[in-house]
Formats: sequence, structure tokens, C-alpha cells
Amino acid sequence: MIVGQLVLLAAGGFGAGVFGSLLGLGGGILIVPLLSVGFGVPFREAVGISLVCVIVTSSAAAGVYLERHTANLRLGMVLEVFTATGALLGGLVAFALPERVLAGLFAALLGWTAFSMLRRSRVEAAASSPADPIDGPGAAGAEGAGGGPASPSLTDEIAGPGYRPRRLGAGAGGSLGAGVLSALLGVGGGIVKVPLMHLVMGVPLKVATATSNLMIGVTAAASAVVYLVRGGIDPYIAGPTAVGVFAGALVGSRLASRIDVRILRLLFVGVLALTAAQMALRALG
Amino acid sequence: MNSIDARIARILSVGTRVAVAFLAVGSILLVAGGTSPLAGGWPPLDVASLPADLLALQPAAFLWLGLIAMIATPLLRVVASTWSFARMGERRMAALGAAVLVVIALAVVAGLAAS
Repeated sequence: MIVGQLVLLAAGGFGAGVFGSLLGLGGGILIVPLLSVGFGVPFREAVGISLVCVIVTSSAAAGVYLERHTANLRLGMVLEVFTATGALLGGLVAFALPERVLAGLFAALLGWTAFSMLRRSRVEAAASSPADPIDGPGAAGAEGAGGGPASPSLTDEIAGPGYRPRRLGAGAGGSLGAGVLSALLGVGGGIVKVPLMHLVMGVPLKVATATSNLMIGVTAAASAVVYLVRGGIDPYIAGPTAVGVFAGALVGSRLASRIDVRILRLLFVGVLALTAAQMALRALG
Repeated sequence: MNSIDARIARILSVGTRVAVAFLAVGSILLVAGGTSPLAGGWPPLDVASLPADLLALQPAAFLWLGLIAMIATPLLRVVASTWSFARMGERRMAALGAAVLVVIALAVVAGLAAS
């Protein structure tokens, strides 16, 4: 019985790790419903455990992205100031909100995630167009024009090969919101950060995805610290679940090139929609 | 830049593996001791007693240490980035890294104050 519970938790984490890795998600969107709906763990505890699992997937994948030079470390560090601040605020607010409110917010997030995954194929098709994400050196607009060669502007410092991030103010504001969302709901916030960097700031999709993954670990750590210090993380459940997530993320990264992710994504949308309905019912009592 | 990326990638990889190893050992000890992971009522985190509890093979000690190592891994990445940028004379990037660390320190203080 006890061994079975441990295996089930690890297997659930493994599944979340595989799916998260294949679909480019941090895993929190799966871990929270798995624990709260599947295992009856109180919502706030599920969020605390999920934050740890999000750090697992982020740290495991971010190292690979950095080795391949896909992630923009400087851009990540600029936006991390805001995601970490948002995560700190969200981590404090999370303990003041009723769990039903959090469950309702999570149901809305699941619905939005399902909707955006359905639309993702269109975004990916647009990203493959050479004119869209890659901005020319002069495309940064007024923000990039302030610094001379002796004193490069912040935009110059965070520019990558073939692009210069723009609208840093909007990026900062959106990152703050992503941090709050991450802390309240136990997700990485990539669902906000990737479109923010790609569509608003003009960062190529691959770089946005990799940089978001790098940032997610720090964002989740900022709120996980609050949960840990306040006794909001159950180590008995977090241990086997996180080990399962780590193993799943490793397997998922190896399966990625062999599986038709489009079919997987459609199946996953169905799972998300069903889970959103269950979470909404829980929120309504 | 490339050397920073490689160094940080190594920190993330080693940190994650060490943390997962502690969590795996703690989980196995938990089962061996006959404790249900879903029973609730977990022992509180007591950093001062961690070394003694580790020597006594207490599962909670391994699990807490694994969780602390996991949460610390991305923070170590920020420390390493900040240090590297400061050494390269990139003061603005170093200041941003330091700002993130200040926010994390505030999170610890706020968490302690609220609990």
C-alpha cells in the first residue's frame, strides 16, 4: 500500500515530466491538478510541491539550452528582477486567498492554456517566416537609439544574433504578472513569458522559449522560498513526485524527435479541458 | 559569454542531480520506514538538526535537504552570473543579478515574518 502510493506519486510526476518536456511546459499545469484532484492534496500544498517540480524541469532543461546558446542569459536576468518580485508578492498573497478562489483561477488558466495550444500551430507557422521574429539591427526603435559605442544601452546589452528586444517596459510589466501567476498557481509562467517575449518584445520563438525556461527556475524559487519557510511544502509528497518529474523530463527530451507532437498536443488539449472542468467544479464547491 | 553559459549549465546540471539524489534516497527511506507519503503531518524543517538527522538516516532530513538544494540551484545560477558579470566589468548586469538576490532575501524575510 505504502509502496504503491510512492510509486503512484513518482509515476504521476514521471507522466507530467514526459508531457511537459514534449509540449514545452514547465509541468506545473499538470502537477497541481494531479495532486489536488488525483490525490486529494489541499490546493495550496499542491502549489508548493508544484513549484519545486517546476524548478526541476527548468534546471534540467535550462542547462541544455545554455550549452546550445539558445537562451539569452542577459535578457533573462533583466526580466528576472520583475518575475522574482511578482513571485514574492504572489507567494505572500497566496496564503491570504481562499483555496476555492485559487482553484477557480487555475481552472481559468487551464482553459486559456488549452485554447493557446490549439492556436500554437498557427504561431509556429508564423515563426518560421523569416520576416516575423527576427528583427534587423535597426528594428529596436527609439529604445535602442540612446546609447553610443562607449556606453551601450540596456537594449544593446541584451541583444542577440539577429534581434534586439524592444518594449522593455511592457516586458517588465508582463514579467511581474507572470511572477504573480507562478506563485499563486504553482506554474512556471511560460504561458505568459513566451508570448510576451516573442510577440511583444520581438524575440525569436526559440530564444523566447529557452530564455523563459531559464527564468522559470528563479521565478519558482522566489515563491518556493516563501512556501518552504511557511511550512507549505510537504516533503513526503514532493520527494517522489520531483524524482518522477526529473526522470520524465529526461525521457521526454529523448522522445521529442520521435513523436508527432501535433497529435499529442490535441490529446493534451482534451485532458486540459477536462481538468479545467473538474477544477471549476471544485472552485464552485 | 560562452564560458559563462558553460559554467552556469554545469551548476544547473550538478545542482539538479545532487538534489534529485537526496530526494530519491529520502523517498526510499520513507518507504523502508513504513511511512505513507500521503499521511500528512510531516516533520517541520529544522536546519540545525539536519546533520544529526542525516546521520540517523531520517527520511525527512534527506527530503528537506533535497528540497533546499533544488530551490538553491537556480539561485546559485544567479550568484554565479552576477559574479561573472562583475568580474567582466558589466556593472549593469551585475547590479540586476544583485537585485534578484535581494528580492530572494526579501522573500525569506517575508516568509519568516509571516510564519
